[in-house]
Amino acid sequence: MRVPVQRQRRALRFNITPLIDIVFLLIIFFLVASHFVSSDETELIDLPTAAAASQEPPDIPRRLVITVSADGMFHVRGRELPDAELDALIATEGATDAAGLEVRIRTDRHALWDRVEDVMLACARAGIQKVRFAVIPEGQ
Amino acid sequence: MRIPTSHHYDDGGNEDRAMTPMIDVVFLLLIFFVCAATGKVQEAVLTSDLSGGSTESELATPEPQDFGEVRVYVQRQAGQTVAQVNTGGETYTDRNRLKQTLRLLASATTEVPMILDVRPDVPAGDVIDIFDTCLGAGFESISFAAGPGTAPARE
Repeated sequence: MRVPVQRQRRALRFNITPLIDIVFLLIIFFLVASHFVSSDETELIDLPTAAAASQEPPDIPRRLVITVSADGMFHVRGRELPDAELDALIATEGATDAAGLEVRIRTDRHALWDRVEDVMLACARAGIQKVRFAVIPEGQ
Repeated sequence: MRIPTSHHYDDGGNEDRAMTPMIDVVFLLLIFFVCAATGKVQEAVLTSDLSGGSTESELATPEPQDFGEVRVYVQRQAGQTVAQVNTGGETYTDRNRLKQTLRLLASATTEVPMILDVRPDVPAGDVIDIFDTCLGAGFESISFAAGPGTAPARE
C-alpha cells in the first residue's frame, strides 16, 4: 500500500523579533548619545593652526572650555554666555580649586583679541593659571 | 497502520533568516561610525600659563629696553598684522623673518622672558600665530601684557 505523503508547504515566515530588538537598541543609543552631544565643542568655529601644538595630556584635569566665536560672543557648554556673566562663571569655577582648573579657550581666528583678553583677565583675577588655546596642528 | 509523522521541526533555515537583519544593522553601524570618525578634526592645545599674582596695572609708556626682557608689539597696520620687537625696532610682517630674529635672541638665553603686547583690534588667529612663532623660536617664558600698550616711536 502506498502511503500518501503530504508535502506541506510551509509558509514563508520572517522572524522580525531580532530586528525589532536592534531597532529599539538603536533608538535608545541615539537618544543617549544626543543627550551627551551638547558638549563643549559643538560651536563651529575656524580654529587657528599652530606648529608648536601639543596633544591633550592623558590625565585630563578639571576643564572649563570657553568658545569665542567670530562675532565675539562667548559660548560655554553649548549655550551663549553674556559678557556680564563671564567673570562670575570663571570665579565660581575657580573658587574650589583654581590651581587645578584648566581653562581652554577655543577662539575663532577672526575674533578680535580683546575678547580673548577679557577671558584671560578673568582667569587671572580668579587665580587660574592654566590657560590653553585650542588649535589645529599644522598640516591637518 | 500508523503513518509516521515528523515530530521534530526543522528550523535551521528559519534561524538563518532571523539573523540576517541583525547582521545587516551591525554592518550599517560599523559603516556609520567609520564615516563619522574620519570627518572629525583632532584639536591640539597651545599652553599659555598665566603668571601667579595679581594682574599688572596699565603701563603708560613702555620701559626702555634693557635686554632683561623681549617685548613684541603686535598691532594692525594698513590692514595687516605686524609685529615689532623692542630690541631692534624693525617691523615684521613675515612670520619666518620674525622667527629668525627671535631665534637669534633666544640663542643668547631662553630664560629671557618674552612679553606679547597685543592691541585689542588684532585678530586672535594672528596673535596665536605669533605666539606659536615665539614658542617655535625657543622662548620658555611667554606672557601677555594686559591693557592697551603702545609700541615705541620709531627713531
